[in-house]
Amino acid sequence: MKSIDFVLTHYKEVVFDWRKGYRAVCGVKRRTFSIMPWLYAAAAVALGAFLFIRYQNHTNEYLAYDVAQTFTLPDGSKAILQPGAQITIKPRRNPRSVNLSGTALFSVVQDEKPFTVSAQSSFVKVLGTVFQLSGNKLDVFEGKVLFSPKPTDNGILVVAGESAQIIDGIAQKTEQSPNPVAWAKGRFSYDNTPLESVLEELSNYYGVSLRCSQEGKRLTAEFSTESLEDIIGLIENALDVTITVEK
Amino acid sequence: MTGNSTISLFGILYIMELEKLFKEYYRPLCLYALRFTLDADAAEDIVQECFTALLSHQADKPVPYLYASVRNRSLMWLRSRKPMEELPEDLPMEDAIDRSMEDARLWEAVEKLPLQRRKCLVMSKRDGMSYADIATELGISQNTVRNNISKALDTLRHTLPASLNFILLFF
Repeated sequence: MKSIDFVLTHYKEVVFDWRKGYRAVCGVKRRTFSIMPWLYAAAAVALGAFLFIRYQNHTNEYLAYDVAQTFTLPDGSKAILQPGAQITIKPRRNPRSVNLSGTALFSVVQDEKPFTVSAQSSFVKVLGTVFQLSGNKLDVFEGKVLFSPKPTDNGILVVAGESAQIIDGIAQKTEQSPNPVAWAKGRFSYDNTPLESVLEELSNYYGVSLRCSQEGKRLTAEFSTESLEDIIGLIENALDVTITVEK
Repeated sequence: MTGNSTISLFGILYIMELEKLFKEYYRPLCLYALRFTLDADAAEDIVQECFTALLSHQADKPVPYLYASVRNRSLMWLRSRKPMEELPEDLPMEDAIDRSMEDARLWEAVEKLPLQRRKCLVMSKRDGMSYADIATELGISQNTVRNNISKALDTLRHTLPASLNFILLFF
């Protein structure tokens, strides 16, 4: 029988629909089938979360290689990094939360939101100041800074002209050295400073041990940080003393 | 196909495969069964039974399996209805599949005809009504009925493959 005649002879409305057949055969297991859209939704949510976290974790890195470098951070604050120091910020998460390794000098712009710096063993929280942080040592030049050891939250308030250090896990105030940011300025300047303090600072700065036989001398002078030998020569001439260098 | 809400990749592929199978072969299989049963409801029941059997059998080649089991069940159905009757003509499997595909295309083409054309065509060819009866039933002129039917047949002929179309022109 020809197809056209056959089909027309037996034609009936609303039969032989594959969707109806599928429901009739697999309908009981419908739950299994409706999982498909859920899978797509779950995949979309996972992808969205992944992209969101990637977006949030976008990290700015600031690094000073062999010379001190000044950077403007996302919130407008400035940071001067000592050679080898590194700062990372996740600006989309919090532009005023900084991770620091090495030594850096910060000039923080005023804002309601606190500016925080997290270093190896210490943590500072400020609103708007100028300060230097280096591992566990802090020098404050303007404003005030809440200085805490990590991981505890037992901070002390350090104000302009003061320094502090984490010693045995506790934040303690220390005396500020005459030129805490000599590396950034490239200069040491002394104004009637006891020679012992001068030599201690120079020893720390150049990683040597300087000694002088005479006591009670005071120094008023300015040196470039370029050459320790030149500085020693100048001091010896000016004060008529002998300085020994031990490496 | 476990009832669990956790579902393997294989399970998903299997479900997609199954849906494809329904989409492509459900109607042709129905028309294949219809060739035996000449009863649309019975044909559809048989095809659904065969798909259900396929789910529990996991046949390697589902299409030949489906055609074979539709044939067997249709013949069983026939014997239970009319035990003495001779069996209808039986084509080789490949030809039977081709013919069922063609029947399915035509069936779909009829379904897609505009309502009045379909009504005229079906009343004339299936129910054997005269043009005059159809005209009275639908409240239209006999000329319109004739026009509708010839246009509908035109459409159906165009859904067939070109070679068949050519033959139809001569017969």
